[in-house]
Amino acid sequence: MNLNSVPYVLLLAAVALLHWALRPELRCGFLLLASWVFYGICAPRFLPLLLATTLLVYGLGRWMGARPARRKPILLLGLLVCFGILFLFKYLGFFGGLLSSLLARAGLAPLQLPALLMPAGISFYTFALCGYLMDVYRGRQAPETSFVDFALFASFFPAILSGPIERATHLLPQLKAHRRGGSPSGEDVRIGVTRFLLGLFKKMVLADQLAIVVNTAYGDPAAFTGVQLLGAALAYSLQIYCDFSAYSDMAIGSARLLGFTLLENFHAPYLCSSIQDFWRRWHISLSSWFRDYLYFPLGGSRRGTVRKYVNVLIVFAVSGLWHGAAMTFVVWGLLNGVYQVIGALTAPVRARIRGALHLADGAAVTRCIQAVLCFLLLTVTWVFFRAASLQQALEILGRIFTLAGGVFPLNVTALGLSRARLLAVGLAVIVLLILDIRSQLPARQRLCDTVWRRYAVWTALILAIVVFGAYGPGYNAQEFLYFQF
Amino acid sequence: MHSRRREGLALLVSLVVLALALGLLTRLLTLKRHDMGSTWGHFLQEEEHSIDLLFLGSSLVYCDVVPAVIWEETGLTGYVMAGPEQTLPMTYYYLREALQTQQPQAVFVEITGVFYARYTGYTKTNIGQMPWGMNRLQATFREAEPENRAGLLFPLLFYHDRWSSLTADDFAVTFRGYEPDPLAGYTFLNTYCETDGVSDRALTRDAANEARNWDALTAIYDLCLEEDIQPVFYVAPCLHRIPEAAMEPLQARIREALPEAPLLDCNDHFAAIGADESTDFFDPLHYNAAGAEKFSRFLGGWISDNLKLSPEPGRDAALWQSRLDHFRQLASTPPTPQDAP
Repeated sequence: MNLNSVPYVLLLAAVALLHWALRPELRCGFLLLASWVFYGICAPRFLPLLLATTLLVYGLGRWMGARPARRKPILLLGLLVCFGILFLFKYLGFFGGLLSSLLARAGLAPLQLPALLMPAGISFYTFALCGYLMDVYRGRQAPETSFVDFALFASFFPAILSGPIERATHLLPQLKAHRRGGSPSGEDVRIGVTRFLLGLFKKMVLADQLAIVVNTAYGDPAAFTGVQLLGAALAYSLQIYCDFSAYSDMAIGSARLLGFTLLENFHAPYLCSSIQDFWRRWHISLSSWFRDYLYFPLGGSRRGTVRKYVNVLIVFAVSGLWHGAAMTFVVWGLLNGVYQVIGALTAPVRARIRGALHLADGAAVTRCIQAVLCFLLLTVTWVFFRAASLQQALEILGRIFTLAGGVFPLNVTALGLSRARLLAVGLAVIVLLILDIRSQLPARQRLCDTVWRRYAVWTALILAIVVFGAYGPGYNAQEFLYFQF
Repeated sequence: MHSRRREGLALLVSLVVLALALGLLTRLLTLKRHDMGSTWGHFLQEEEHSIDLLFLGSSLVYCDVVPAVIWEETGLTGYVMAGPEQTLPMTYYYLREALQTQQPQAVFVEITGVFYARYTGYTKTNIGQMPWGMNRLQATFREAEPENRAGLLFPLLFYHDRWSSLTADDFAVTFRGYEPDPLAGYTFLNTYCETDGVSDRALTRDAANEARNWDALTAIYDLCLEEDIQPVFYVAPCLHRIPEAAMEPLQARIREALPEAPLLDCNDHFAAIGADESTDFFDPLHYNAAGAEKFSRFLGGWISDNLKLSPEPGRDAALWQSRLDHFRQLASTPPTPQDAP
């Protein structure tokens, strides 16, 4: 069930109304039931796996609490089982394929591995559960005694399919407070509805329209000129941002309507001043997870410069693998790591260049130039992320950099959208840019700061989605891109 | 309290604005229909109770029947309110809807639809062009493919995408409404195709569906009698015909079970109609304008000879003369051959 579907909106409305009508002590139990029903609808075959993993981690957490001296082996057992399950479903085919090709080179028979379907949301809930285990191990989080609260933390329906990857230290205290009572505040409804509508707008007006351009070009790159492929690559940079941040907005908005604040996942990432800055703004719940549970344990920046750069590369290679079991994702991750290393190495040079050009740090012009350069650099990485294979990614980049097929005629409509639609998407991108810029401003200057302005914005968003959104019989409904991870 | 009142007022105003905007957008973006059947927008511009004859059915009706020519022959006013590949249950809802504004003396129903499949792929047009009301809702839930129902109830689902291809006509119809149709529901076709004589149509029989269609035919018959309207069932003349083995038992059943309705198989009068096979057919199923004029004259003569109908007083003769002139002007251009496929 997609979050941008009518059934989900009806489910959310019904759950929110019933939830607020219930006695406070029953609310978490009800939300847990709703979450399991939601997951059962989305991935019925894998509900038992979710329940079993949740029960196991809950038990291991309690065990660590009861036997503090043995917490390290218990943690290792938990991580082994959780990541083992993730490996089995997500990576067995990938590594099996690599091993098979090595065996074939050695003249041996390839491995016969079962083709397993990946359970929906497994990457997200596995990381949330492992984060919990590590927090308990480090003493940052007390072992949770309430199974209902713990299971709700693991399977909270707005976030289970594509995050944000919650931290027990962030969500569990909210669940405890929730049991103590309260009713939805105007602020919850205001923020919840606005975020949800904004997510719908990004998904249906932007991401799914851009998907037409991207899918057309990536479906047969050889049929398009370098300039057209550049357009498609830029479109994908926008598509993936709109698509994933749309899911996060809708998840955060849904949770807010139920009285919970989920972790923010995006903070105007394409307004970054460097690639390092980008990764502080993009998929924040995953980036911070890697920082806290991988980069720091590897030594972070405490063991010298070279080791720091190696750690960065390791983290980004793993991040690439987290996104998908394919070499394209590994290259995407490594390229981002390399960007960061080069960025750190060239920081003094770049500062001197800025000085020579009289570009003050933090000035609007400087930020604008930095954002454009980062966007272009990131677009190169996204080509690997989107391509079906390394070969295809290199082919696309090759055609872009050699301007294959010449520059004119541009023939922008060959990518599947008419001029009018491209114009509409362009205007929507400008709206998004304005919203992102405004999101950086102090709260009092935000969009929905008066009742009338808020309702005007909601009405405008609904009408824009209804008219310009990609839906109905003429469209292939596009799943959220991050569902596949 | 003051803030709650303001919140409530803002919500109310937003809902009203949203409803009005969605209504206007639905009207603007929905495909406009000027010919090829289901032309409800034009039909509703006819003066109330100004039609003597109503012609219902499929493209075999709106391509073949020229009401202006029948008026010339009989003095009776008529209108074609058919729909593409329309099934008989849909025809029943069309009749009910048409009777909201018209009280014809006779209703002609082309009965080939008895052999149509339940879903012919045109429900989006047949239902989507109907005016809102109980008939449209019932047709939506009973006759539309399940996957089309949401779009028929919320047409923007089908048409929101048309914003980039709107024409001046869309705006004109949205803000000024439809004009009366000078052809009164007839679709003017002025090309001809090569034909290879009379042959049988391939027919896939479905007993359950035919029973359903028969029930609809019976319902049409009953409704006509109830409203004191003369029902007439007829088979349109064409080259690709329903096989005799299927058509004859149907006609026998109509004669027996629906005796108040005259039955006219126009294929029995193919020669009398006088259409030229080499120049008067748009395709093997439909006449072009020349063939439709000949058929309409034949039908007018049949009406005069077999139905005791006389024009209601006060009909707008000038309007119908202008409609006849309009048709003649269109038909004065000789038909051209269709391009080879």
